Amino acid sequence: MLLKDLNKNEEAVVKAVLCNVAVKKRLFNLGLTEGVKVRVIGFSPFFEPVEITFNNTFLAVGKSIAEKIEVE
Amino acid sequence: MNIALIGNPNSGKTTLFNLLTNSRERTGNFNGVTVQEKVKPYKYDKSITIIDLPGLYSLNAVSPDEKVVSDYIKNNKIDCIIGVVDGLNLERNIALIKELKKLAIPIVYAVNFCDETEKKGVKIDKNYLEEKFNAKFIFISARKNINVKTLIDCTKSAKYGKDYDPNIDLNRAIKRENKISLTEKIDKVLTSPIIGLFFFAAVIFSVYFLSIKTGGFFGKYLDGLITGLGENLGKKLQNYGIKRWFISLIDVVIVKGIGSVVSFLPQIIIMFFLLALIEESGYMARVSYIFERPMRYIGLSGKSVIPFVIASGCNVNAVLSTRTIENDVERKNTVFLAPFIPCSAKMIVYGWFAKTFFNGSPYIATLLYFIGIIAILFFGVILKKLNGVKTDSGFILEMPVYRLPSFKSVFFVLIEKTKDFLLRVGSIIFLITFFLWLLNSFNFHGYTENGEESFLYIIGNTIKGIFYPLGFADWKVSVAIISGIFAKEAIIGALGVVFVDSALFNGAYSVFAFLIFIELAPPCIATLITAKGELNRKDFYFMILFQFLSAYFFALIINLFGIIIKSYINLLFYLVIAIILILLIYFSVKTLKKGQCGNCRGRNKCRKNQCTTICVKARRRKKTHFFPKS
Repeated sequence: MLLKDLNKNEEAVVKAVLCNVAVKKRLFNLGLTEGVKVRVIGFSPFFEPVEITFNNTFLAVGKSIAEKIEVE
Repeated sequence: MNIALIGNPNSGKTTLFNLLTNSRERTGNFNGVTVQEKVKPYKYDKSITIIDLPGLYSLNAVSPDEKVVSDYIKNNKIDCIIGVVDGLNLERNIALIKELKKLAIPIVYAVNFCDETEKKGVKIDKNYLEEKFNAKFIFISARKNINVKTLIDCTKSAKYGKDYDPNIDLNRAIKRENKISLTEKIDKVLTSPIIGLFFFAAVIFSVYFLSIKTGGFFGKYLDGLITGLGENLGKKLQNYGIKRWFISLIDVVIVKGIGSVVSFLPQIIIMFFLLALIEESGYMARVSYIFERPMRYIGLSGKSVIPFVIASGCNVNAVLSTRTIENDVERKNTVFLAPFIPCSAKMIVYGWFAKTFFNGSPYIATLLYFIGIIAILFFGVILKKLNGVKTDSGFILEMPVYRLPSFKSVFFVLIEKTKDFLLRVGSIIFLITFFLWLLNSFNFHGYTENGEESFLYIIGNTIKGIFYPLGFADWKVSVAIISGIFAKEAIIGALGVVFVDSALFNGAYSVFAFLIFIELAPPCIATLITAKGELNRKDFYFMILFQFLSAYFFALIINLFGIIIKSYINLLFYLVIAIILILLIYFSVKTLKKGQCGNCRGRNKCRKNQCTTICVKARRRKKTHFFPKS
């Protein structure tokens, strides 16, 4: 399953981050890596980006990135 | 001794810097408040220099503000680093903590917000971290001034500990109670589809409406006071037999010019107060989250919204704050478009015009703000077409935790802004008004009271032809527009110097065309200088041309509509001009658009991603690009 397919309030564990190196590095620095448990807070009024929370961090990621993060 | 403050965004570096150096730098609760390095001596010991740097997640720079940090570290000697760590969010900070350790510079970690960690049930194992990283961790609170002195004492004795273990067991280092935080609850309401949008509209509307309405209320008294004082002074001076040119100087420059600008001080203060509340609360990041999608549709990023909101305070800060945008094209377009949002100086002009021509209606300025937004949408689409390639840099933005605005920093903003404003009025506005008065009151024969014989008349009359199609047939209006280049408040000064009567404009629509022109015309000289530093030469001149043409275009349209409604006599003449203009714009857009192929950027003269060959330069460009299509 992909991050963008999650519904509001749903929780999942990140399985793989399939973005390119630069984005992956950035997400890593923010703490979003394999094995992190994320929860979807909600979607922007215009359907994307999606706001997620993990480890007390709140992060908004665009659709193009959300569809490259595998979760389960 | 140089001490640099480095840390994640929103970890309280500038708050700590303000405390250490007794300064009043702007703080805020969103990513990218500080975009330049700031250097000042420590307040108790002048031999120590404190350097405040923009927040960053990694030393490998992605956006221009992060590049400031990595460049600074490379090019300057730093004796010690204070790694500012957000104590509420150690997990996220750990990556940067490790990177800083690799720099081989003595380092002390300041774990900020120690007053809040206990309240929120977060426990950090200090000894474990110190042992692992071989460096001191000091729990501070920059807001409440806890342990800050100890921190500086520690930096003096800090040494670089070579041995450290990068494998950290986070579960051991930090323990927290699992609670659904307040931020999450607020976000579910404030970013929900319907309430979110209404809330944003309400926030922006109330910022404008409140500052104009209540500011106008106090401003009326201030204005009355200044005019009353001026009249009394004028009479007294006349009784003493002072020369007439000197009385005119006092009356025109001090009372009508400076006085009418100063009477808007309450409005400015209230506006900056409300903006500071928004910036301190953490709502800014939510605004860019909400508008990411529509902004990308017009070729910008959600992060462009932050400069747009800041622009309603001052365009200089807005242009600087575009540094957080990673993508170059989006950043460029944001710099081009941000001045369309009326800044506080333009609000003064609107307020003055509303008072003089529209019975002081507060809706004029609010309406012009929304026209500014429409102009951004309209010209955003045009810029997107001009700049060709559609980009999606991948939106990642950390949403800071909501915080109650701290009284101290809001208070600082008010003091700084009042000081800035009075300084501006005392220096540049005064100088321009004085200079205009000189030109208006003298000609080759000496002092004159008839404006139609002055130097200013000659100047204004020569350039008024440029603005004639917009309906500004009077030479005084052209003078006002030109003086607006230096500072927008000077427009009032200029119209205060020359005698203002109702015949200045053709009617309400003409006044409105003038206000639109002022809104969209290239910003004041301070913003232009800032923009020049942010853009390359070609883009800078394009920006000026683009803003001038868009202002001209909008004002012309309004003038045309006004004339069509008012009379049909001149219709033919203006229709011809309009057709020529529309054709010109159409062809210029077409020629510029031609060959903007995503692959070859027009080298193979094809349109819209048709060509299969990718030239070497384009390939190289794609490689350096932040987010290439994978």
